[in-house]
Amino acid sequence: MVQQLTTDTILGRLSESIPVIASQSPTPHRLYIEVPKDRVKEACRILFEDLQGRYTITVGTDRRPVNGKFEVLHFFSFDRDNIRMAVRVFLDPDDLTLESITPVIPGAGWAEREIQDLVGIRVIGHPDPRPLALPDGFPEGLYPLRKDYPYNYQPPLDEGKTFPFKEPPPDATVVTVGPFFPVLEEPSQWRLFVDGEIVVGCDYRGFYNHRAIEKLGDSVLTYNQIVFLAERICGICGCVHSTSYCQAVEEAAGIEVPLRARVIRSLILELERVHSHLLWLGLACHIVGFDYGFMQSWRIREPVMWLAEYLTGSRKHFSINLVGGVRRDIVPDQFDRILSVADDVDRQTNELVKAIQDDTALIARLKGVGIFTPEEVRLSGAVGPTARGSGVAIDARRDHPYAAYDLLQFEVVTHDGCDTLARTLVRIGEIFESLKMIRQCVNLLKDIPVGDLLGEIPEEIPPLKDGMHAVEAPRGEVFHYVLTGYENRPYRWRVRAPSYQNIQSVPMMFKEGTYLADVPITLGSVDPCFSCTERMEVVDQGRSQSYTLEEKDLLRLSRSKYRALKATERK
Amino acid sequence: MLIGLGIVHIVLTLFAGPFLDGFTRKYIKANLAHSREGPLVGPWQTFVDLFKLLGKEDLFTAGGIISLQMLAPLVALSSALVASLMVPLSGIAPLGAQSDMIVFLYTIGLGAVAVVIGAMATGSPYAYAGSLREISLYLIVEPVLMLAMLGAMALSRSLHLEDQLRWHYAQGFSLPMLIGAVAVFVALQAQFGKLPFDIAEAEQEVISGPFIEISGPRLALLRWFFLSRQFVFAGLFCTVFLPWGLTAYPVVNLLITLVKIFVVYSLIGLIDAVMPRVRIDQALRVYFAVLIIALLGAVLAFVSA
Amino acid sequence: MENGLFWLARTEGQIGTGLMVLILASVLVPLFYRRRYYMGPIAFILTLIGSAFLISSGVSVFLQGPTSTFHLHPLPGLTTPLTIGVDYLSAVFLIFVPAVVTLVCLYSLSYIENYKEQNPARLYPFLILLPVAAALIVIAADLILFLIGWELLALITYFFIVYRKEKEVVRAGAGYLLVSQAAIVCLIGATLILYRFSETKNLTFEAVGQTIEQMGLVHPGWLHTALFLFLIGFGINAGIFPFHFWLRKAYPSAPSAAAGALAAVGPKVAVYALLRLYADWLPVSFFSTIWGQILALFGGLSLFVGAFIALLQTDAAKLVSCYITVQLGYIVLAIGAGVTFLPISPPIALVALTAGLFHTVNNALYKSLLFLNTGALFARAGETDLAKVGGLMRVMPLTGLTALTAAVAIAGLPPVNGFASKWMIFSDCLMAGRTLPLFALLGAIALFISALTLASFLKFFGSAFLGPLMPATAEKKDLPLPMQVPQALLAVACVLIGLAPAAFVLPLYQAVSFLLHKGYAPSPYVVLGDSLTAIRLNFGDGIVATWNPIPFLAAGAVTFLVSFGLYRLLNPSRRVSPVWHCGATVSPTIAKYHTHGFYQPFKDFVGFRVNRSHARSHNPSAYASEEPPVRPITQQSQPDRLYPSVIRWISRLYRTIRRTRNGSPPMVWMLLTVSVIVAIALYSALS
Repeated sequence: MVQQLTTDTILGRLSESIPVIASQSPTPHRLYIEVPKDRVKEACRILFEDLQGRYTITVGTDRRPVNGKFEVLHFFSFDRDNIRMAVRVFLDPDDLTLESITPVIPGAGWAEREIQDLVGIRVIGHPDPRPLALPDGFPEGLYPLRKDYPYNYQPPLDEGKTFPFKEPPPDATVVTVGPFFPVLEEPSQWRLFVDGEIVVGCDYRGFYNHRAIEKLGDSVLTYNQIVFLAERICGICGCVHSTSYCQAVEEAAGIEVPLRARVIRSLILELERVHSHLLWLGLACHIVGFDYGFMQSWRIREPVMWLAEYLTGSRKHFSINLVGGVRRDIVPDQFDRILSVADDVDRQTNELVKAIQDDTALIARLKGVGIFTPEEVRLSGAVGPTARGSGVAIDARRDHPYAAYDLLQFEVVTHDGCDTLARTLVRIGEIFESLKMIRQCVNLLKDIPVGDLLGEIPEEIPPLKDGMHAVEAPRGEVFHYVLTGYENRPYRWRVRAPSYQNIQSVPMMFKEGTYLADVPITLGSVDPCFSCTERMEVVDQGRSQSYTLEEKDLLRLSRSKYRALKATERK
Repeated sequence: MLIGLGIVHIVLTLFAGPFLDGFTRKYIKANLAHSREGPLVGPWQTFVDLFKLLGKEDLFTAGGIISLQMLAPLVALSSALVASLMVPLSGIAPLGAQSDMIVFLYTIGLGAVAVVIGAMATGSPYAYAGSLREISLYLIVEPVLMLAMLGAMALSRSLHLEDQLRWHYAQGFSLPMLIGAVAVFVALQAQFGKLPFDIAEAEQEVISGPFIEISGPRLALLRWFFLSRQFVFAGLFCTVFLPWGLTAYPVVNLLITLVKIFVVYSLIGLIDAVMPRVRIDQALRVYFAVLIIALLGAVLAFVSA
Repeated sequence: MENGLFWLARTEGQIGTGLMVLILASVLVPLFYRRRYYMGPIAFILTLIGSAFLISSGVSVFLQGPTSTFHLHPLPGLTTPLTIGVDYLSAVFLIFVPAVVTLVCLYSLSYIENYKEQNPARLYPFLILLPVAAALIVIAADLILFLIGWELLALITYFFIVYRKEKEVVRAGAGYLLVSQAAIVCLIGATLILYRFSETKNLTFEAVGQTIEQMGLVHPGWLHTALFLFLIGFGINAGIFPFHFWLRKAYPSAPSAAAGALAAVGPKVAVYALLRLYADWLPVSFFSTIWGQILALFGGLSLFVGAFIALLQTDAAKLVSCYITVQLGYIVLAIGAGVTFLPISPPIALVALTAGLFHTVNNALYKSLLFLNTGALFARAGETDLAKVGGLMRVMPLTGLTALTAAVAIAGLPPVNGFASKWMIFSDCLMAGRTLPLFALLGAIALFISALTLASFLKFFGSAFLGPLMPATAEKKDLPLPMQVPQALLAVACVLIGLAPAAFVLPLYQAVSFLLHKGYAPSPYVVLGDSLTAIRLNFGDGIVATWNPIPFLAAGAVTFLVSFGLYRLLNPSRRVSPVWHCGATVSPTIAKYHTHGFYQPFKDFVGFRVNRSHARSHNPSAYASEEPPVRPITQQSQPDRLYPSVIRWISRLYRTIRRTRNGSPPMVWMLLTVSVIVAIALYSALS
């Protein structure tokens, strides 16, 4: 039996072998410690191996305007004990190197490559130090996340500089899956090395569509504007980002959120989970050619979307959150419809799941495919159903309660299969758990008297305060870190979407003897959300007016576009 | 008269294939299985698609062999049409007296070979992957068909499809032929390129495999080849393996055959609509089992002959 | 002068002249060893002349009838005279063998330039002697001359194999010598047995036939022994299962041109010998049924084993070599069916024998063509490894087209010649299967192997000629004309025979039926139909199978026009665009579909590939209620290992020999001596 950890025991264990420079623990659940630069790897090793912490993310910050140094934070999470912590190290701008922790924690691979690309901190000893986030031909020596890099600067690109892909083994053929591939809804390139139908290796390149959302948040937008930008990080699970962001800011600023707002947040989050899992189920069926499941699952999902529109005014991008609370209430008139939709979805999903479970051909496609062992879960830092399908019961809703989850009764659905089928069953189980929670939320709302939806917000949020918070998104734990800044805008905002860790773990799932045909479904089984990993947004600021387009307008627009294309073609 | 019949066969193959495909798409797949409306033009959607493709730009790959890319769809479609001339849809076939079961199998195989060569001529690895899946499957599905037809041959003492049909009709029910019919029906699912065995095309895995680099009118011809081949195989199945309903009037025979083909298409379309795609190794295992069944039928046929 | 011309007009005269020209040429050509540029053309012209005589002799047999046998001066110490005689069967071989060898000679003119460090004087004489050896075997009418022919063929083959002088090549050559001498020993042993039981101590074929007939009555055991020894001797030369193992080393070692010539001669004269033995010497009897089935079984096994080994090959030369076994499997199966059915149903038997012979001729054409295509790969890419060449159709379109023709022919797709002969074999076996179900099974296997052949040659064609062009070969020019013409001619021959199969099958039927008693064989017009293009098989109860290429092609032409009409219906524009890799840029070298992976699921399925475990569910207990989802690892079952002990034994012996006598030519004589000693020992044991 492992002993119960507290922030003090962690600090104590670290101090045994590391000279801790500074530490702070704003709440019993949060710990920040500063260590010397040359002991970072050792500190992370102790946290990861000895104390069995879960690696979350690494953040690099240009703190030169504040204290003339660069800062790197390695985040860890102790899920059993509800503790999140960060290992902080300050780097001198003259010597921007840091020892890599990736050899110890493979899941840190991308994050370290990203600080190398975007902040310009060279990581020593990284097993795969290729560029990650920057486009082909981005000039050397320019680091977009530094404070001296203007948010709207477009450097001239250096033609001919291309991404260094790995060489295939001698007997293998390269089959590229992506950047544009029928079952990848977003651009990303999986370079598969296949021997016949068998996959013998792979290489990944993503970040084709990096949207620089963090840079916008760091430099242009205010706290409450970012809520709506954060929501647009993802087209499927936007609400989790805004919630997570709001909670991080609330933590940094010490804002109390009223109970009713917390329950509404939970309700909307669970509604989002139901629609996301149904959407995923359909896509997974589509990937293996089971279009019956695809169509039926999306048919069942549709009322959930209508319900979301009814409750929030929008099918997607609910925009329900604000820093400190929620934007609109859910009134008793709406309860019946919520409950009836929940019942319908429950019943119909049950029927669909029965059909799926009886389909031996479908089970044969999923079972034993994409094996992902619990040890690999830990090493890669995978989260959500991807981890729970391997029997690793981590769930931010239970482990680090937020919103109203401490008031809700639910089970963390896990499965020991470690394969695609297990991940599917976990998601199916979660649909029913979410429906249960939606009903509970409605009951809670009935009991809570109508009142404030926003907490008390100070005039100016104090600068240089750390806030981190996670939300259990449909795909796993969404993690937001906010360092508050001056003029009511954050100094640094870092988003770690669940797919950021889960996609890194996909190569581990391509076990020996994986068929080419298994690749799309294995990839699909982590429910990858590439847009979450690539944070960028295009805002048309030229036209500030807004108008509504109806079906006929859209048709007219697309037809005129088509005619224009035809006309240019003729020329 | 045979030339007239030949024209009927070619026209029928060219038009019944897409029509039946459109029918299953609209009424079986969309309406029945997917709970959706489906194409607005109903069973004619496949024709609309083909016609649209005929007018689209024709893209060849720069790294490939253009002459073979060009020839492959033409050879494929004509092989399916020639094969259709060998199937006694109305009790007699235009080329029935000039060919036999082996010629038929190889003629229809020629089309598949043309598709594969045309695909490989594009140089795309997806085309290779898809084509090789097609051939791997062919290696195990073809023997099923062969063994079933061997049974028919052993019983009727002739390799001619017409003789087999006539024998079967005169003889009525026989167990070896029933086993053969079951095996061939399962083989049809793969010969049709339908789920769960549409492994070669598999958009989600190899992006339509052999078709990936083929566009416009050549894609239309290739689609047409597959549709024609489906019709030809369905015709073969309905005449040689389900020969009941043979009369003295060819026109009546033809109509009866068409009704049977319609039923077979509907069944295959239904299976297609509610099944996921299996992996190639799983498909090989499935067809190996079917192969054993077909072998049993053939052995029975040889024993009882 | 007039006398001389008259002599030339006779078959024997043409043969004699042809052989003399060729032998003279083989002596003359090495004299030019310092002038390699003259050597080739001289060799070609002399081969052309010599071969023309041989071919015309073969043709004149069909026009004038078979020659009478006549005796040459007997060798001292032998009671049996050396005898020659040409019948229709010999004539068939006299026609196609010299023709193919001449084409190969033309091909070699340019091809030999790829072996700069070797003197062509070490190749041409043997190439020229190849038709001589073949002619000796087929015109011999007594066993001694026949055996001399075999020995000559074995030596020629050896010198082809060791042409490149490299270490492993010499080793392959030595292996071949061992094997071929073993074959000769078997043949000598069988001859000695026949000699012992011959009442007249005469080994002319006529006498052999009588001896065998008597032995069948009096000493069936000895007859079986002799037939068995003959079967081993011929089987080794044919490369059928279980004697296929040497082919895959020997043929790829020889230059592709020589291998092409050899493929048209070596295994084919073995077919001649098998036909001669089982259809001519062996009387139609109970023995025919037994040995026919044994042959058919060997044929069926050759099909299976050869095709599966071929599935694993990624080298063009090895792949094509493996298919010698497979194709000989078809032929031996057909001959076996024919021999079996000689006493049962003459129509089935005759069609089977004819089909076997027809397939032999067709096979000689397309198999040589395939070797020449392989040589073309070597000439352009310096490589016959299919994994390293690609897209060559863009470099050499004509060669690509001929390779496609050859691939289509060997896969037996209509309307090329391979289909016609295979179709006859299938139909015959299947109909024979109604009497003896064994043949239905073998016929089904043959049909299945045909699909496998198709797969293998799609691999050959798809890997080498299609796909992305490798950068190493991108700027190369097309092949020189002397290499293109023979390939084109062979391809045209394949197509022509395919278009009018009946015109070629009828003479072959005549050749086969001449071997039997007069009047035993039914009329070809009943069995095969009376058309020059269509073959309609009738085994006595109506036409059961038909292959008529002309209406087939007519229908094909019409439907092709219909398809083309559809293609041009809306007359869309055309454009050439690069290959799409999902939007990524991938260089052709790594985008080429690797030959190693072809048909990998199928290979996995039939269990020939190793190290392909499939890790199933990590935690089986999670689905405890269901069957454990762990697939057992496929065991290694490589067909190579079928004869480990034999191979080990041979290589160990070979290593011992190498240690004692360094260098290969002395070993030839040593081995010959060994063979002779073994033979004498055998003889003394017998008498």
